[in-house]
Amino acid sequence: MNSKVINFINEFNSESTNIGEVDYYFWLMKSYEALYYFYPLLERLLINIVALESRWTIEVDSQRRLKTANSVLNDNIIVNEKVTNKLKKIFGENGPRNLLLHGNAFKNDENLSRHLIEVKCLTLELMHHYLRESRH
Amino acid sequence: MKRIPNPLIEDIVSDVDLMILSYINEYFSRDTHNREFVFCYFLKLLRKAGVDLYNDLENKFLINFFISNILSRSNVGEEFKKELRRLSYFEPQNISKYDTYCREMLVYIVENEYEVCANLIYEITKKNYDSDLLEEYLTLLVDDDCGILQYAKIDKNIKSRIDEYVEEFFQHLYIKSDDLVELYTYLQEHIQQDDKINRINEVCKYDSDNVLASVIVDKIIIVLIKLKQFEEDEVVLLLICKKIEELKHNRAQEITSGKSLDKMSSIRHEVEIRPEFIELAKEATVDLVNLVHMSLIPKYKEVPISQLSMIASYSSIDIGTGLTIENVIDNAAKTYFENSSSITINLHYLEMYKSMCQLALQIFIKSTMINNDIDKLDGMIVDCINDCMNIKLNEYFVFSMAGCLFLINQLENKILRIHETISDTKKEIFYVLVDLKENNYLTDDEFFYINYTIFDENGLNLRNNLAHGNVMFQKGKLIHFYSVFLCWILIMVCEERRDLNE
Repeated sequence: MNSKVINFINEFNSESTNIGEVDYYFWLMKSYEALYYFYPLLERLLINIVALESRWTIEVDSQRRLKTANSVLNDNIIVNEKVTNKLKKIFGENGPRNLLLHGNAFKNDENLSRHLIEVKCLTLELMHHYLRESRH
Repeated sequence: MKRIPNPLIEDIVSDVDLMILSYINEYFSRDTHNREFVFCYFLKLLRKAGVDLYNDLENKFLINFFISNILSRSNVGEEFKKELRRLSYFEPQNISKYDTYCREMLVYIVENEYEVCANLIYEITKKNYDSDLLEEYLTLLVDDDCGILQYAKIDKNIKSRIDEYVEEFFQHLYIKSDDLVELYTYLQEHIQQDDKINRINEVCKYDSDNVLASVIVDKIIIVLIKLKQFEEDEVVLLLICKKIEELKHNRAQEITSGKSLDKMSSIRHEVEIRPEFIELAKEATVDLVNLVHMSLIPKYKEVPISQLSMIASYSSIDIGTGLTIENVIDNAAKTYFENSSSITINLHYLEMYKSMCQLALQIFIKSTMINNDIDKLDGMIVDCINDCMNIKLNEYFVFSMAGCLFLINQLENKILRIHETISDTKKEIFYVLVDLKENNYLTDDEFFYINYTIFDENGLNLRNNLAHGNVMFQKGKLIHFYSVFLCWILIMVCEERRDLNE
């Protein structure tokens, strides 16, 4: 793993955040099972980012429904439009996240490696953004 | 004694039952404000009626009748209703099972129906209550080892002390079961972190001999647990736990020294409040009885007697003279399979179930005995998972939240595959489970367990919590794995039934 990434994860973990400690192990994983870690982490990050920016209570809205990535992405821009669109793709109804968690996607997928890199980069971007916002 | 004016009931129940029903009904109509009396009489009479009430399935109607009567009252808290519905969910196929649920209900009242408990203490000290009824109520609860009321009884003559507690604590902490948020908000707004710790210390110091103090602390813990704030308040809770240990220490020594297994129920008081136990309860309050019931195995005869006592008392199994732990686990496994289906289950599944029991106990022991050196356990668990589920996962992954989510996902796929063989229509997992139940591939209990533990769409289930990133943990919570394993084994049994049917 790139030393810059390790340093950044170290920095992230040294701060007290709502996200919890980010686990190095999954950054090294190259199999599709790593996505079972990254999709929830991405969702936790993006919900906490919106919570920081709009100050609503995390986890539930006024009707006490659970806030999910999908509901948040419909009403908010996360980091910037490019990132938001990437996230929308992942968390969309027929996106890879749903395909994985409600089926058997990626088991023998040749695009896995590219997707995994994309997900890891997005995660880093959201971590970075979250850290910046939380320090304000 | 008046009769119930409902022809449907009269058609179904026997005269003896009807008499009992009428007796209870009298209490329903006698005082609509005292549901705790009503409910406790219901439980008491169920027990008193014993076999007559339990022996045939028609009595399910009878039991549901009581429950619906309680539920129809507007002043019953939502949580309480939910628990009662859960109670009514199960078929009264055997006494011990119902007995366990009744006990659970009593514990539930004591732990959750603060209003009821607080009122009761008031009743004892302040009001000129119907002393016969009260005595019976207390006796019933004392018989069932429900701590708070036992202590309340012990202290019932010390009016001023209870009054002080009531004044000082219940005034602030007095909450309804469906309004726990209020208490937590109070704690957050009025007591800063440092003060909170001091305050709890004060509570415990208030009178270290009086267990009521620890009962109040227990209440705080339960509230925090319910609000899922445990992690944030870990420091406070650890202090509370320490204090509880201190409070219990003398009593525990007194109880355990030179006493035989006959004192199990008393010992339970000591062990059930251990911090590790609280941690367990936080993780799986609802599943606790199941957990320990399935955790009795021969291999762990060396487990300290207090642990076994707790296990035994919670699983309603007498491990006194003549019954070895080995018998008990054997019987538990056999009974489970006899009750779970009318068809013969492959011995392979019985053996697998027993090995899952072993695993459950190992997990349970690991969760409860922090100082025990059982380093090899993790590897054993991973081997078992890989064998049972025919996959190859490494230890780190298995014990991560990602591993837990992966296993749940695989379980979901497995369930959907079983369903594909009986139906062409694609459905959500809940409806698939309902279908499997309606086709008798899952019993009511099994359906309930699988759905409630993992898939129940109330927003707080294990799958959703993991999948949506509400729970992130480095090292998985063992109890989650236990739940997932158990669901796996149930689904394997479900598969077996489907195969036999085909």
